[in-house]
Formats: sequence, C-alpha cells, structure tokens
Amino acid sequence: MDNIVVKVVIDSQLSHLEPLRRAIHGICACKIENKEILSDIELSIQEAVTNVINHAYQSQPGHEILIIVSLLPNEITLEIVDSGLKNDKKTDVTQHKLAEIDITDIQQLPESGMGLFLIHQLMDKVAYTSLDGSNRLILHKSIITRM
Amino acid sequence: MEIETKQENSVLVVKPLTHSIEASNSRQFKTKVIDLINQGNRNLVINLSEVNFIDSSGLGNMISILKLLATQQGNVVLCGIKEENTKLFHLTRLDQVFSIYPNEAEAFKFFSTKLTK
Repeated sequence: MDNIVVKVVIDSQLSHLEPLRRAIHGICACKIENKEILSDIELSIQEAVTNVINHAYQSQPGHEILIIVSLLPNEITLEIVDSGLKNDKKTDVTQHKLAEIDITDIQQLPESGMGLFLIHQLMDKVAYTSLDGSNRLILHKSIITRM
Repeated sequence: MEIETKQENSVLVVKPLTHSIEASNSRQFKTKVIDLINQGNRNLVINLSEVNFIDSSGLGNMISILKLLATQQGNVVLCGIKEENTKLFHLTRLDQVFSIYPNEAEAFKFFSTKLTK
C-alpha cells in the first residue's frame, strides 16, 4: 500500500469528538487490524483534541482543528494542528506525576490532567512544536500491517 | 444521557445507557450520579456494560464520585467494564483504586460481605 495522507478538519466543539474518533478509526482500520492499536489511537486522538478544545481554544467554538493522518509502511502518524494558546506542558511529560501518586490516598487522586499522560503511554513517540502561532502535536504509533 | 437505576436492598445499581462516557457528556453523568447520592444512596454499583469508550474525563468524573462517597462512608464499585476500556484503568492504576467486578452478581457479593460485617 502506498503512503496515504488523510486530512480531517473539525470545529472546536466537544460534540464533534465522537464523529472525529469514528472517522480516525475508519481511516486507520484501512491499515491496521489490531484492535488494541486502533483503541490506542482512538483514545489518544480523543485526549489530544480535547486538550486543544479546552486549553488552546479555552472551550470556545468556532476555531478550526486540523488532524492529518499519515498511513506509512510501518507506522501511523497523527498530527493535530491548532492556532490557539500554546501549551507548554506538552513539551515536558515529567510534569505529569500520575504514575508517582499515592493511590491509596483517595482524596489526592487527580480528576483531570490525565490526558497527556495517557497519550505518552499509548503512543510510541510524541512531539510538540509551536511556531508562528501554529501548534502541532505529532503522535507516532508503530503498526502491524495486514498480510 | 439516559441512566437506568435498580435498587437492591441498600445498593443502587446505576447503568449508563450510552456508548461512551467522555469529554462531551461525562459531566452530565457525574451530575446525575451525584443527584442519586444526594437522595441518600450511599452504596452504588456502576454497571459499565453498555459503554464502549471511556476517556480521561469520564475517568475523572468517576474519581469525583468515589471521593464524594468516601467522605460519606459510602462505597462505589464498578462492573461490566468492556475489554477495550480495561487498559485505561490499568495505565492510570485506577484498577487498584476501584473495586471492579465482571458483573452485577459479583458486585453484589462485595456489598453483601461488606454490609454484614
């Protein structure tokens, strides 16, 4: 299969997440049959785009979010592009201490801020750049191709 | 979001009739469950057997419910978690925080043991 690049654009609204997830799932299923990898991609795109809507665009609708899916021979890359506020946390995964929290202390458990932690756990490589007002989160996932 | 409830003695089973609990609807889920807690329900089974997709927002709101019940000497257990959602609980180690059972019958055993002590 040749390299395939698909671009999807949504408005910055949480109600657009489900159709986006379904679209990304459908696109990636052309290349992957492993259900766990498809689930990893679906959850990662959900967390990444939720962060863009809630943080980069401050929960304001009317802003464009571009998702570029590249189906490559041995990996899938997902680029999430926005022009909202820069998120410095994306450059430093060590800010997310979820793995170090004392889970026996229920009242100290975090109720938010888990999205980026999950993305780093689910993807093989995560990169973030912010240049000239354009923020770009790039997620890489190695894949098992169809025989 | 539609939620089905079922009372079994002092235990309330809460079953969200939705395919996903995520950023766009998880607050609504939390509000409905907190309403049920405020009506005096202290022992909850949340049956997730209809839910195909949960994200960190959905998880966060379940933590919020857990915390609230803990302050009121209540309990919440989860059951019916679909295979595709188990990884989320494992990665966040919340499978060590929540009591998780395969189905309602097993979840009731937790309460029958706990409430007769």
